[in-house]
Amino acid sequence: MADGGPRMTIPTQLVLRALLEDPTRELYGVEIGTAAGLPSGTIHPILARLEGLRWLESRWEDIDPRAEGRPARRYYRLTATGVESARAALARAYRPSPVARMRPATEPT
Amino acid sequence: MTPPPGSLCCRTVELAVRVLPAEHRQRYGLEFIAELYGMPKAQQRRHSARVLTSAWALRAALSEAAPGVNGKRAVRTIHKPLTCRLNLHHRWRWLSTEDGDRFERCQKCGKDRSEKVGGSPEAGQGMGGISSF
Repeated sequence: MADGGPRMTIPTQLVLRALLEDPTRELYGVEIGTAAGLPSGTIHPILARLEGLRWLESRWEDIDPRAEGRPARRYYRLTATGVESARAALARAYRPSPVARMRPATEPT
Repeated sequence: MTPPPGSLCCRTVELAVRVLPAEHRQRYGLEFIAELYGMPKAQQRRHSARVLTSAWALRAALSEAAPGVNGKRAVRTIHKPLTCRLNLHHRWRWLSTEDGDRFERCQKCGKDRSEKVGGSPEAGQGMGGISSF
């Protein structure tokens, strides 16, 4: 969090990658969990943190609950700054494994 | 028509939401209940159980994201170096008040130095300073 971004834990990275697949698409919690490959019900802390940083914005689904037979869902989407910041943070978060870093570079013969 | 979630799942979600800061309870209560619609019963139970177990993490995330004064994030703790806490060593700097009076303040902990006339400062050197606590 040195630069004001979120802690780039593996679940946070998975959520950001899932959202970055189509940054314009709105998804609700369960869909994000499924896309990220995380168990449903565990991603809301991550979403809340990203929303607090203004990387995400959310809104209630615009439906008639009686006609749909279910209440409105809360949909999330990356903001414009969120897209940039998420891409940069994911690029920074990528580190080659220690073994790969220690391996000497092979020169073409 | 999507079948509504079971009462056990709704109660689990209610319990999870109680942990959250008051201003967020309604929003997350509605959000979690809405997510249960359309799920098979077994998945509803798993989902609501996970919502409950991650409620404290959500509370922490919401508290972390809460803006403080002037829209900036609230500073949770004021860091005071150990040497300042024990009154063993301060980093004094001369400053001026609005009406021109001069005083010394520790740059690290913000403590003001009250200097005795003609004497040494009351605190800041040696273990004797601890008695002022």
